[in-house]
Amino acid sequence: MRAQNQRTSALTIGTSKAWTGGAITALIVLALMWVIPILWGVATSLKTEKDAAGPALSVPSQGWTLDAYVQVLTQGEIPRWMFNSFFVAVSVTILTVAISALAAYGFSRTEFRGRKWLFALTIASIMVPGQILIVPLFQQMNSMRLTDTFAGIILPQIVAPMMVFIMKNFFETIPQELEEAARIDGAGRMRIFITIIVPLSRPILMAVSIFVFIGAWNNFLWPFIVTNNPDLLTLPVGLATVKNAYGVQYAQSMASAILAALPLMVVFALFQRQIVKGFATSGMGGQ
Amino acid sequence: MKHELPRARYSSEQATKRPLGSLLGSISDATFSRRSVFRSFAVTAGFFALGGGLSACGGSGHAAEGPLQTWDLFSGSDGISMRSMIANFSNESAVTVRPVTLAWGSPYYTKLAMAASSGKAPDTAIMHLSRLAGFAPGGLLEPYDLELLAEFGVREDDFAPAVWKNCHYEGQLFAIPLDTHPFVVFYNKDIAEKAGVLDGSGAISSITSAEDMIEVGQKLAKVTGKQGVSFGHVLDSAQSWRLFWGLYAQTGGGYTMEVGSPAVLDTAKAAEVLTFLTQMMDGKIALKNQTYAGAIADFTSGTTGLILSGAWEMPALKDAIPNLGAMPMPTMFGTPANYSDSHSYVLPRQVSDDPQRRRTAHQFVAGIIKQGQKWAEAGHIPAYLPVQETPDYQNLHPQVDYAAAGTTPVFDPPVWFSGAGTDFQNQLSQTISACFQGTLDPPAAVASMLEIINKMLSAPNPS
Amino acid sequence: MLTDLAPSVAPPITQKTPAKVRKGSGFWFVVPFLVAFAMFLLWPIVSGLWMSLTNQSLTGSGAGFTGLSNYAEALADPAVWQSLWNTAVFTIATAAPLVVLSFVMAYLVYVGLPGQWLWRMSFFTPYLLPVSVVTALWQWMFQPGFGLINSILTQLGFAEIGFLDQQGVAMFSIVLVTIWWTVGFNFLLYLSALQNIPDHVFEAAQLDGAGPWRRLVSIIVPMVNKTTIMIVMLQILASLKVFEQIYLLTAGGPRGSTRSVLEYIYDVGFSGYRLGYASAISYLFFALIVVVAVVQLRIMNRKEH
Repeated sequence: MRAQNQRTSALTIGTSKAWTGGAITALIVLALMWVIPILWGVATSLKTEKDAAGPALSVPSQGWTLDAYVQVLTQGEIPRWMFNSFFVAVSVTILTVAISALAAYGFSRTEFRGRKWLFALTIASIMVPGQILIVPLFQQMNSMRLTDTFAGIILPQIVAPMMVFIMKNFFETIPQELEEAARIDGAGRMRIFITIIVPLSRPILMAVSIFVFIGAWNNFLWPFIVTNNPDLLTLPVGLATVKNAYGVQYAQSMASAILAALPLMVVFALFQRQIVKGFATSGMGGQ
Repeated sequence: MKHELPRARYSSEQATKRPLGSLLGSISDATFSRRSVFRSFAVTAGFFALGGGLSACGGSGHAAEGPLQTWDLFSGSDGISMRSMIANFSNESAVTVRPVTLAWGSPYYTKLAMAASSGKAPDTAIMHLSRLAGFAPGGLLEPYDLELLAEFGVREDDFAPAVWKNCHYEGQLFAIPLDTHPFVVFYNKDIAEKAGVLDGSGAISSITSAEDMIEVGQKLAKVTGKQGVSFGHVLDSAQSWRLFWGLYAQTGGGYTMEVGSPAVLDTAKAAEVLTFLTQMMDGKIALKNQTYAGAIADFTSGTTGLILSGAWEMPALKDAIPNLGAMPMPTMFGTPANYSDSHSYVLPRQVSDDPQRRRTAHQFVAGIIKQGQKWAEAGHIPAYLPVQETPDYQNLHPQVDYAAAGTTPVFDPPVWFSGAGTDFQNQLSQTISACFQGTLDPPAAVASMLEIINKMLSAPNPS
Repeated sequence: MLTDLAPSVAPPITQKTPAKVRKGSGFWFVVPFLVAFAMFLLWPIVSGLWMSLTNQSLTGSGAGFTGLSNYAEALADPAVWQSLWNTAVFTIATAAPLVVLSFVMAYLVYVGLPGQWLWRMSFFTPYLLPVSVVTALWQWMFQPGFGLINSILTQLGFAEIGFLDQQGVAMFSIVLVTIWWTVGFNFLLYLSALQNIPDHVFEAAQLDGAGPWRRLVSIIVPMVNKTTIMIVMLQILASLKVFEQIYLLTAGGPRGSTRSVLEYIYDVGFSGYRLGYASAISYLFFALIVVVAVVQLRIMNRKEH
C-alpha cells in the first residue's frame, strides 16, 4: 500500500493543478453516481412503508426505523433463502475448485493417452455459453428427476473449464523439482498433489474460490430455471419470483435486497486485497 | 540448490509476480498445511452429508408429508382476502396450508407449467380459466373427482352453466371456479345524476345501443367539463382486447380458431365494433391515448364520470368514490355478452399419486370457494352460486349490481396460446390500441389482428 | 493470454521417475472433472441438438424427428431477427462505455486521492449484487411518481420519463443499469493491470518530461493493451448472453423492443412450451457466437504480432 502511495505522488508530480483538480472531481462524481442507488435503497429500507411510498426527496415524517428488517427476517422467507444460497454457493465452490484443481494437475503434470486432446476439448468449451443450454439442461434434469433438488441446482454449475485453464497455467509455474524430490521419497501422485501442489497454490485456489463463490451466490438463470419449490429457492431467485401477497411494500423489498447484498459485500470488504491480487494471480489482470 | 530454482523460474513468470512472497512462505509451512487440508476434508464431508439430507427432503418436499402447497398470483386487496380465506380454512379443517404468491401473468404460468412438467408442482394452484386450453390438453393438470367434490359439498348445480362448461376439457372437469371477474362499467353516481342519466332507482339503465353510449358519454362530459368516459389502454397488455372481444361477442359475429387452419372472424362486425370505439375515443367523450393508471386517476378524481374496466378495480374505485355505481357491460350490439375471466383452482400433475393428498386438495378447493363472500369484497363475482343467494351478498353494492355479468361470460377463444398474461392478448391489445390511437383504421386493425392470430395458429400446438 | 494455449515449456520428465508412479495414473485426476463435463456440458449440447430436430414440448409430446423444420421456421421468424438485433444493439451500446468508463475509473483511482479502498469499494460493490437486487434498486429509481430520478426530473420542471415502458427508452435504461452493475469487474481488471506497470516506466517518462496527458496516451494506454483486448472480448461474449436484467426489468417489452435472444429462447421454450424450437434458436445463436469468438481471436492474434 505504501509503495502505491509513493507511485501516486510520482505520478502527480509535474501535473498542473487543473489536471489534478479535474481528476479528483471526476472521481468523486463517478463514485457518487455509483453509490447513490445503493444508499437510496438503504435509506428506503429504513423508512416506514408509508414514508417509503411518499415523496422521494423529503425527510421521512415517521422517522427512521428497522421495522422493515425485523419484518423481513421474522416473517418472510429471507432466512431460508439465505441458507439455500449459502449452501449452494459453498457446495459449488468446493466441488468446482476440487475437480478443477485435480483436472488442472492432471493436465499439467501427468502424461496419459488423449491428454492433449481432452485438454483442447476443455479449452474449446470455454466458448460455449452455458446459458444457451438451459433448454436441454432443464429437460435433462427433468428426466433425471433432479428438478427442485439441491443436486439439480449445484451440479450443472460445477463445470468450469476456465478455472481449469487458470489453474493449469499456475501449476505449470511450480518447479517440477519439488515434486520429484517427493517422488523419490516414495510419495504417490495424490500425496504430492495434496502435500505439495495444494499448499503452494493457495493464492490461486483462494482467487478461484472467490470468483466461483461470487458467481454461484449471484447466479440467477440456472437456479431460476430448475427450482419451483419455494423452500429451495436461492436468494436472487426468491427475491425476484415470490411476491408479497399483501401488496408491494417498498421498504420491505429494499430491506430484503440489502440483506441479500450484504454477505458478498462483507466478503469483499474482508478479502479486498486477495480479490484484487486474485485478478493478478489468475493472470486475468496481467498486462 | 533446489531452493534457488524456484526463485529463478518465478521471476520469469509474469503471472506469478505478486504472490512470490506468499508462495515461498507456503513452502515453509507445507507440513502444517497438510493437517489443515485433512481437516478441511473432514469438514467438507460433513457439509455434504448435511446437504445430502437436505436435498433428499427437498426432493420429496411435495410428496406425502408436509403442508398442502398452493400457488396463487394475488397481491394487494386480492392477496389480503385470499390469505385470510386460507387461514379460515386452516382453522376449521386443521389442514396446514402453504400458500405462495408469484408474479402475475406470464411468469406465473411459465413457472406453473415447468413445475407441472416435472411432476413437482404444488397440490393446487389458481389458474385463469382462459388458460385452461394451454394446460389441460398437455396433461399438465389432473382432473377433479366429482364424487370427492360432492363429499365436500360442491356440485355442478352450484355454478353458472356458462362458466361450468368452460372448466372442462374432453368431458373431464379440470378447474373449479372461484369467481368470475368481468370487464364492466363503473360510474360516479353524483356526476351521473347531474348529467341526468340515472333512472328512478339511481342506476344507468338507458344504454341499449352504441348511440346511447355515446349520448351518455357526452352528457357526462358536459358535467365534468373534461371527458365523460375513462378507458386506459396505452401500453396495456390486455385492456383493449377485453373491451373489444366482449363487444364483438355482443354482435353475434362468432369465430373459428383451430390450430393448423386460418382463423375466421366476421370482419365487418369486428370493424363495426372498432369504429364505434374510435368514435367514442374522440378526445371529448374519452381520450384516445390514455394509460391504465391514467384512466383510473381520471375517474377517481372526477375528471370523468364513467370508466370501462375490470371488476377487480372495484375496491380502489370504491375507496375514492363512495357513491359508486356499477353495471355489466351494456348490451350495445344486440346480444348480451360480457368479457370475463375466472380465477379457478386446478390440480397440477403430480409425480407421486397420493390419494390422501388428493383428497385434502379437493377439501381445500371446496373450503375456499365456499368463502366466496369474503372474495366478493375484492370485487369478484363468487362463482359458487349459494354465496350469491345469501342476503349478505345481495346487500353488497356495487358488486351485486354487476353480478349478472357472470351469467353471460365471454372467455378467450379456447386455443393453447390464448388467455390472461399471454402474448396473444398482448399483441392483439397493441394492435387494437393502435387503432384507438388513430394509427390504424378499423378494417386495417382487423386485418392485422387476423394476421397475428393466423401466425399463432400456424405454429404447431406444443401441448 | 487466452490464446496462449500451447502447453508451456515444462522440463521433460526425468528418467529417474520411480516405477511406483504408473504412467497412466494421471488420467484419474481428470476423471471427476470429465464426468461432470460430459454430463452437464457435452450431453446437453448433444441432446439439445437432437431436440432442435424435434417438436419436443414442455408437456412431453412431440419427441419425433422433424428434420430441419425448426431451423427453417427460426430463419423466417421476424421475432428471432428482432431479438438478434436487440442483442446486437445491447452489446454495442454496453461494450464501449464498459471499456472506456472502467478504464477512466481505474485510472482515476490509480492516480487519485488517498483512501483507495473506498473508491474501489464504491465502483466494485454493484458487481457483487445479485441481479434481482440490482433490478429492485433500479425499478425503484425509475419508478414514476416517487422514484428518485423522476422525482428529481419533476422538481427541475421536466416531464417524467417512462424508463421501462417507453419504446426506445427501455433499452437505454437497461444499458444504463447494466453499465452500473458490471463496470466494477472491468474496473478491477484495469486497476490490477495499472498496478502491475513497473515503476521505472514512470520514472523514465518523468525524466523525459512528459506531461500527464501524453503519459496517459503514449505510455499507460499501450501498457494495458492486453487487458483492454481481454476486456473487450469477455465483454462482448457476456453481452451476447444478456437475459436476467432484461427478464426482470421489462421481460422483453415494450413490444419486444428489449427482447434479447436468450429472453426469446426462454419465452418460446418455457412460456410457449416449444423446447424443440427454442433449441433450434439456441443453436443458430451458438453458431453466431462461435463466429464472433473466432473473429475476435483472429483479430487478437493479429494485434499481438
